[in-house]
Formats: sequence, C-alpha cells, structure tokens
Amino acid sequence: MIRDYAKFSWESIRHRGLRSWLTIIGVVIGVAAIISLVTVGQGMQNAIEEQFEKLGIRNIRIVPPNLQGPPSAMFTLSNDFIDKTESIRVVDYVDKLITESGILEFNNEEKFVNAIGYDVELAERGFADIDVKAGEGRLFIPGDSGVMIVGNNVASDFFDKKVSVKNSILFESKKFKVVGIFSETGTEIDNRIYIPLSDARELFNRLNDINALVVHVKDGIDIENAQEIIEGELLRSFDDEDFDILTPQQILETIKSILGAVQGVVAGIATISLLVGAIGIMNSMFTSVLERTRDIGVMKAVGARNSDIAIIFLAEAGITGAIGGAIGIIIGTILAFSVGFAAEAFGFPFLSIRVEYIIVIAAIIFSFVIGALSGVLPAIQAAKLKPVDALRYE
Amino acid sequence: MAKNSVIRLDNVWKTYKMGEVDVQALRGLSLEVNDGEFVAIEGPSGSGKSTAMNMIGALDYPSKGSVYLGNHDITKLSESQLAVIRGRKIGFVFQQFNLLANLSAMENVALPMMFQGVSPSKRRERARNLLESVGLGDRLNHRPSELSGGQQQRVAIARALSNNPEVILADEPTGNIDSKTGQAIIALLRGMHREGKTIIMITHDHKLAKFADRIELLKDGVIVGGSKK
Repeated sequence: MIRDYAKFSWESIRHRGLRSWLTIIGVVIGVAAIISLVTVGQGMQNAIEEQFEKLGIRNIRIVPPNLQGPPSAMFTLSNDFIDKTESIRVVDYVDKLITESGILEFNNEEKFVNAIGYDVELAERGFADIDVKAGEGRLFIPGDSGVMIVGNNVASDFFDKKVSVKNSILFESKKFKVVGIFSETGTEIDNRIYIPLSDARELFNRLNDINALVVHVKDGIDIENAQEIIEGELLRSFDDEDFDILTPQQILETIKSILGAVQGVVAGIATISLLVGAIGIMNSMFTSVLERTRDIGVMKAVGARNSDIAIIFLAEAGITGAIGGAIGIIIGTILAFSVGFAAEAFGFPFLSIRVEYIIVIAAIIFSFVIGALSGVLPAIQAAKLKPVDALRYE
Repeated sequence: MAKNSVIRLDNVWKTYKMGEVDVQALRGLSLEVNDGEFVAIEGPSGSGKSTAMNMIGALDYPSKGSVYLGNHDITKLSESQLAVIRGRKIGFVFQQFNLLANLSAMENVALPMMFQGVSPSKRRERARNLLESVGLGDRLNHRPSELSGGQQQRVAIARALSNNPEVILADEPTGNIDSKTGQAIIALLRGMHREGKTIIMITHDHKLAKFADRIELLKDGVIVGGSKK
C-alpha cells in the first residue's frame, strides 16, 4: 500500500518536472551546507585530536595566561623559574624551548618559517617522547651548534630545490648546516625547523630566558595530579609570575569547545537555509494541492479515504525532501573533500575529512521528515476537500 | 420476485448557501432504485440533477432526509467510511471523464482497486481485462491526453467497473463526445445492464433517457413524473 502511494507521489513529482527540481534544489542547498560544514568541522576536530595524540599526553605545557595558541615571543620564563620547575618531584625533565619565526634562505629563495630553539643536551630524548624520528641524517647530539634539523615539508616542498643533509642554509642571515630531516609526522613539525637553543638565544637575544616550557612528568604519575602539584609549587615560589599550566587534555578540551561553538553557529546558519528549503516544499505542495483539486475529487469519488489523500501528499513532500537530502549529501561530501584537498594543497595535510555514515543516514531521514512536515498543512488541506467541491473545481 | 433496493432516497432536501441566499437544490426528493434496474433521471439544467447525482453517489450529505446505500444510512457514516463504501458499491462515469492525467489507462482503471487494498498484480490483471472488454486492449499504457474523447470515456467505464460495484452512476456520459461515439458508450452501458449491473444515468437528453427501463423526471428538485417500459 505504502509502495503504491510512494509510486503515485513519485509520478506526480516527475510530472511537475522543472518545478519539482527547483523545490528540490532548495533542500539540496540546505543539506549540502550542513553536511559540508559539519564534516569539515568534524575533520578539524579529528585532526586536532590526532595532533594531540601524536604530541603525547605525558607532558604539560606552561604557557602565557589566557593564551590558547603557541607561546608568543612576548612571553618569557626566567632561568629561576625553569630551575624551580625542574626540581619539583613529579617532574622527570623539562624541554626548554624558544619558539620564534624568521626568514629561511636557501637556493636564493626566502621563506618565512617557525623555528624552535631546542636544548641539544636532551639529545634524542625529547624527540623520542613525541615519537619524532630523523628520516635522513640524525637528531641533535649534546654539544651541537650551528646545525639545523628541518621538517619534512620544509625539506621537500618549501624551495624549488630539495633541501638535503649537509646543505648549508641561512636562518635570519646566520649560516647553519643541515644535519637531519625529520620523517613525516603529519603535524606542524613538518613545517618547522629546529636549531640548538644556544643558537636561538643568540639569534633572538634571549640569553637568560626562554618562552616555552614543556614539562615531562615521571612515569606512573597521574597527569592531572602532577599538574596540581606543579601549579601549587610554582605559585608558592613565583606568585607574581604570570603563567598558565595546561595539560594536553585541557588544551584539547578548550579547542574542542571553541570549535564546537563555531560549528554550532555555522550549522545553525546552514539549518536556516534548510528551513527555507522546507518552506519551498510547503509552497510547492500547496500549489500541487490546488492544481490537483479535481484529481483529489476523483480519487475520493472512487474510494480514497481522507487518510489516503493525506498520505499521498505527505509522501510526495517527504520524497521531495529525501531526494533533496540525498543529492545534498553527495554535493556536501564533494564540497567537504574539496576543502580537504584545498587544505592539503595549501600545506595543511592533517585536515582529515571523513564522512560518517551516521551523518549520512541522519541527513536523509532528517530531510525526509522536514519534507513530510512541510507537507502536513497542504496534506490536511487536500484531505479535507469535499468530493463534490473538488469535482466541481475547474 | 421482489428485488432488493440498492439505493433509496427518502425525502431528501439539499440547501446551498449562495452568499446571503439559500438555494434549495433538492426539495424532498424520494427515489428507490432496485437491483438490476436501468434508471434514467432526466431533467433540464437547474433541475437539481447534479445535486441528485451527488446524493445518489454518496458524494455529499443531504441537508434533510435520508439516503440509503444498500442498508447503510449514509448520513450516519463518516467521510472516510463513506469513501470506502462508495469505492466498493458505486462506479462513476462522469461527463468530463475525470481521468488522472499523470496515469496511464491501465493505472487509471486500477486506481479504485488500489484504495480497496487489492494487490498490484491482481490490479494489473483486472485492469487489462476490463480495458480489453471495452475495446482498448491496445491502449493500456496510453495517457488520457493520447486518447480520443470516446476512448477516454471507455477508460472511465472500465474504471467504474474495476471494484465490481453494484451500481454504475453515469452523469451525462455522452455529453462531451460526438453522437456516434455516444452510441457506442450507450451500448456499453446497456451491455453492462444485461450482465446484471444496476445503472443510473443522469441526463438532460430525452433521446438518451429512452434507453433506460425507467425514466424519472426531475424538476425543481423533486420527481415530477416518470415512465416505465
């Protein structure tokens, strides 16, 4: 029975041709917008989670207050502060970092890159903790100076000529020798260069301070617990110092909540366009009821109950919605993947676009329901027509 | 042998509101049609023919009086109950054919069966047989727009028969077709009557009415006389 009605409704959608398509396009735009925005948003969230997983969760970052991004050049941590942090009992060791950016010159080309001044005395230890390896050449060894390790993208994509181990390269006009190239990590590290901390101190005139501290917590100690201890100790000694202590988990939560809010707003806007699409269906269904008044009369004369008529019109509206939804999903998915490819082309390969089946199924059901709901009023109007009046309608 | 009454109208009044004025289309119409009869209701325009047809066909409720379809009093039935009974007991043949333009001849004929819940394969088979019986076996998949007036009316007659109703109610069945084709339509109706169907034909045309066994003359909303063969 339902199948008969669906076929019946389908015939009527087909019969209206262009007008049906225009109605469907209204839904397509709404659904495509929602799918692409939600998928890209989800991709960003996945990407960020992956990044955090790769960076490890055994460490704690000390960053400037109220700054959720990377530590800035404005922010400084004194040597006393570092010594104190190192001495706290839950702390295994600390990465003293200077994060800066500057001009990298190679093969007569100049590129602006992010650079990390890294404590070479730690040698491979800090890299091992975040699972970063040398793809070519080597990592730092104690006593290194005037050397550089470049990220995978820096080596292969930044310059016309590929950067190789043993090449000379200028950073902020100082000559460095490339000793290693990181293997690809899929994180921001691919786009960075690493130089010894001592060289960074000289280049950026930071002889007695640094601007980021990554605290590695001893094995077997709960990270949240460790954070409380460290914060307590540091506040006792440096109550006038401005700093925030963040575990990766907290940073992740913060970023996710911001992303969630952005996604919510964007999806809300997309929903408005779906709403406009739904009004389009309603409008088109009212027209359809009017056009087929006589048909409704005939169907009632030959035995259609009010509910039969209502179902036929609801099915028609629902099918219109579902077709729009299905096409919208396809277009939305294509859009989302295009954004992913574009991001990759512009150097952000980590935006992982995945289309979740649950979203696809939800979108089809949602657009069918939206369609059917838009059809409720027209269907009631159709069902309520009196057969005599409907038959007399010209 | 006393025949069963299939349709009985008992002092039926129907009043329409036309703006401020009440128009009395039927003023105490009484009529009984028995099983197997061929009855013509003849009247000039404005005599209440269409309203009478709506009452007989259970398409509308009377303002006053009773309409019995078999032993159901239609005034006591809901619209949907009425639709089901109408679909089963009455086959309509309209002056304007009233076929659904989107559907093929076969789908039009199968439509009343769909609302009675007949399975698709049975519907198709019966629709094909019915169209063959009205001489349209080669037009099964044509749409109404691809058929002549006479052919469309034959599709409508096949549709009227699809639920094997007791009564065929024909409203000016030849009104929109030429006289020669009209003859063929009348012949079909007479054939159905011979096979035992009750036929009620509403017309303004006395020549057409004469094909019936019984003529009831309608004027100003009441039966004013009649004749019987």
